[in-house]
Amino acid sequence: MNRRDILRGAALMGGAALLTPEAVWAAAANAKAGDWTLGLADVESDLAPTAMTRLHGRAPAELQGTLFRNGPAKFRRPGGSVGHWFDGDGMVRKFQIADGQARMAARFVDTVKRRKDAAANAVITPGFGTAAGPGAVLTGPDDANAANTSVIMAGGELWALWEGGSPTVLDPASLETRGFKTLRPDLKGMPFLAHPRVQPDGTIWNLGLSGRQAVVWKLAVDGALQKAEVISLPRASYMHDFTATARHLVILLQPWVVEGFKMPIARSMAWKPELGTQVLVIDKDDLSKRRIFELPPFFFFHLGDAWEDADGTIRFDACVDEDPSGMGADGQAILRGQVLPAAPPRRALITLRANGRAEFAKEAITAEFPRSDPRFAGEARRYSVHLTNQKLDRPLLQGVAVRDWKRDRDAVFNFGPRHLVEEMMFVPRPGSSQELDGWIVGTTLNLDTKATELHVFDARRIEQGPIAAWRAPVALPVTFHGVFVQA
Amino acid sequence: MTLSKTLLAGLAFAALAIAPAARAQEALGDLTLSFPGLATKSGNVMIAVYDSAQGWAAGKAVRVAVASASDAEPSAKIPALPTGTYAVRVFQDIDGDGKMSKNPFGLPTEPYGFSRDAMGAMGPPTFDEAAFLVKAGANAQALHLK
Repeated sequence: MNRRDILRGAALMGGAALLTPEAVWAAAANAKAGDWTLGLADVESDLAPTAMTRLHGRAPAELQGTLFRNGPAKFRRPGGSVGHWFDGDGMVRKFQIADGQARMAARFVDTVKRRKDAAANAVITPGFGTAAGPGAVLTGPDDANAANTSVIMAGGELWALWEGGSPTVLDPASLETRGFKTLRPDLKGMPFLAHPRVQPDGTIWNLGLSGRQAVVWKLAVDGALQKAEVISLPRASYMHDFTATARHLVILLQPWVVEGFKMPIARSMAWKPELGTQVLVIDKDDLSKRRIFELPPFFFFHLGDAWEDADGTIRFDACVDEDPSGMGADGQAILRGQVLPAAPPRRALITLRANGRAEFAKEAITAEFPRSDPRFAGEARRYSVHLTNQKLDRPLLQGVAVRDWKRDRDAVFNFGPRHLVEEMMFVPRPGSSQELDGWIVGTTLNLDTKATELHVFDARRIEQGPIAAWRAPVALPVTFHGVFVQA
Repeated sequence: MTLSKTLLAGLAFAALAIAPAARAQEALGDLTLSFPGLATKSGNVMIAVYDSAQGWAAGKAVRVAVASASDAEPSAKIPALPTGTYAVRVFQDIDGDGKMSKNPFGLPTEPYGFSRDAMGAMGPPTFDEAAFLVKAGANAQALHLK
């Protein structure tokens, strides 16, 4: 024991002396049980359209539209449960804001996986961190497709996305599942990442991964396929997200690489920090034109939209971890109500210079789920929106931040430890063309009232708190990603 | 992922061998294969019949046949098989190129199936999983293509 440990021990003893044994026991039990496990609870049935209760404030009259969100909502079955948060059954939530009122509905995506697991009364389908159970049959990745990661609108259809397989088509009105999307018969079953990049003109770019190969997807605003080209990658990295400027695709190859094929997927990966992180930059108009940049090793799930300076310098923000141990292990532990004391992800700014040099500037602020003004996607921009304030004693994030890159300032609103905060997104004010002129809309799970809440912020005054909020009649587990469709 | 490659390896329909003529003194069975519930009623169902795990693994069929997918009840009759154990793999050639089409990552894009509707856990079934007995006289198997 060094002096600091002794001091810390003394401080703990002192604190305990002020509390009754019952209070100490209760606090310990609470920490053990984890009130936050509500965010990973099972949902047994769909939620029919229902009104939300207004908590405070008033929704701006111009804010009209629908927030679709996706996330896993069924993890446990009597004969066996998922081994990782990422492997629960996708449930699409729909929050409609109109005339100052909010309504909601939620429906499970009717996947092959969900049907097979339900029939077996056990989670038998393998996934990111779940091993195959008895009787599991996979004829292709879509048999394991949980359709649980994100949603986008494409040509009037709502697509539930999962990174290893096809989009699943839903009816945006009823949320009813229509089936897998095949963009062209010869491309049936090709994977489509859950993080498409949408240009301000509505053009959708995306990747699909298979080892050291990727398919580059380009879809028109109406969802029609414009391009599907297979490219080779320098290494078979795990990839959840990529980014893009107006002219380039920016593909990060982290040193978490596939070593042979195994299920669950996470077990086929090896962390090789000695490889560093590579950045592949590809010309959108000619995929054979490519450059590679070298960065130090880091692990990431999410990137911000990239932009280019006049001299060709490419910049983007990223939410980075030291290595994949945090999320890989945490995603298993939190389903059992445990928290691992892993360092939370932090914000970083990555700069790729025209001379081939790359810079990686990591900051102290915790950051996940980065978003920005969709009208500036791929263009020079000043702001990022992301979640922040993750604590060591509990998983998930407690606050939302607006980053001003020009003034080097962060505006933060902290919901505090009684909320699990979900990805929040910027919604532009109709008729405005100024960046960040609009609202930030997103959901939290309130642990005191045990209910999902919908919040609206003035994007330029986020630190003042939500200007309007509504409460759901239910608590739904936390989601990953969504899209706001303006009316 | 390389799941696609695993699936591809097993599903590949290698060159089909011509069956040796059955000897007259052997007991023979006729095998009728039917393909109910095809999602696409066009093209041909291409059929390969195997009589051993070795032949199954090597892609060396003892018989091949074709059924028209546009028939009301698509089926094919494989006559005069020596009695014994067999397994069948089929695919539906919708685009008429004679091959099982695959996407760029190697996954089948045309329907396929195996006798006993066998499916492997992560790839094609083994011969044993798809195997059935052909007895003297009439025999029938229905395959539901995926």
